[in-house]
Amino acid sequence: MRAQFRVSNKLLPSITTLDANNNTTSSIVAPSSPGKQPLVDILDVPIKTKPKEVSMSAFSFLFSGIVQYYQERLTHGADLEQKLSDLGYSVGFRINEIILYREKNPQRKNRVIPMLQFISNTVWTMLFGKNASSLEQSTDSINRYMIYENQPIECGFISIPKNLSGLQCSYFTAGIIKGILTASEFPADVKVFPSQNKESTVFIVDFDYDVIDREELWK
Amino acid sequence: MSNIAKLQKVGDSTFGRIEKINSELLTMTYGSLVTQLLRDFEDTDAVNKQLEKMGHKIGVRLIEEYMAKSNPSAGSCKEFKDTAEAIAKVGFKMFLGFNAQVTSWNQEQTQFSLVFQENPLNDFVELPERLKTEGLFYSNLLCGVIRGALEMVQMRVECIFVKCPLRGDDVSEIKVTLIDYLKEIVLEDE
Repeated sequence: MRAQFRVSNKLLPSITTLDANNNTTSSIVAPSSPGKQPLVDILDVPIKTKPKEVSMSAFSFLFSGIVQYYQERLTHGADLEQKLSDLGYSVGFRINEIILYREKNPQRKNRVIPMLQFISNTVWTMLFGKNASSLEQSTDSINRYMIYENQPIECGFISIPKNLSGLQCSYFTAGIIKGILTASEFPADVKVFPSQNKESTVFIVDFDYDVIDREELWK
Repeated sequence: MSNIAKLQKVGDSTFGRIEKINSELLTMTYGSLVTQLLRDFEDTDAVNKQLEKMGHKIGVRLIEEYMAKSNPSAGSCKEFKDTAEAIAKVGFKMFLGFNAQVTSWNQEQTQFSLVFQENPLNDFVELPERLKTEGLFYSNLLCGVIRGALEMVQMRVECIFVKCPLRGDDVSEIKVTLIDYLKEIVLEDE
């Protein structure tokens, strides 16, 4: 598979590509037609320090459109969970980058607990405007941690028919968590369950055993 | 025109009142959706149609929220011109946080263009060459939303994306054409 790296050089309007054999080829980026501006390279667009705001209903409408689209195409309820989790996974991967970019003192998290605290505080605030309700470590198994959330944002406007469990939509957030963890080299599996008292949602994070072994080395 | 200024005020005040979230969540979710659609369909025209269809379903429900949240003291839309300005100044501002401009009216006053510079759905997005040449309209969802919303207020329109910054243009432009006014069908009771 050919690896392609793009280097943007502000002096020359060209794209240099390196392929796996380290041969460089370059092409000049020309305006696509007269009268249009030359394409601005996405790597040169400055990232705003303060993100814009949109209405929550815009996101709710988009999310409901997504759920409807999947429900038409899939037959099993469990597949919907997987698809939403996959969607959240790619969101999480990208959100990870921009959050770290915006942090005041970005530090790479090596240990499990600081990483989970990063997710339940910083990431949650960036996405939902508040911290997660709580973060706990399971006493049963060594690789399991729980994040509790009292009011999941995406499920606010969804009414669930009785034959479905009602948690499928939280799998989107679970996918985001999984994406962030995987992008930060903490491979894990994230599932959603109702909590004991049925009021809040629990995100169960099961880390791969490699991560736990790595934790042991740090001790 | 004072009507435009009034609508702008309505849009700003509504946007100030409603609950807001980080635009990046919306951006990333929409990006993941488009990526998934491209994997599912593999044909750019089919993806464009699917985005428009999804937007239509959203628009049908969005109009209720628009009516409920924006204070209709600005007056109901008497002409198609008012509708156009209402979409640009109130609708776009309320949901996506930016204003659009209405330009390029045709002679019969049935076709206009919505022009806007910033689009939160387009942030951080770059289209590969193949999709540019195949004609993917990344934000085609917006066309469907406008079509669906106006259908609920008895107007049949056609919305096409004309310009998109992801394909090299400097602004985004949606052309809206009024086809006809729908008559309300009242079912007769037996």
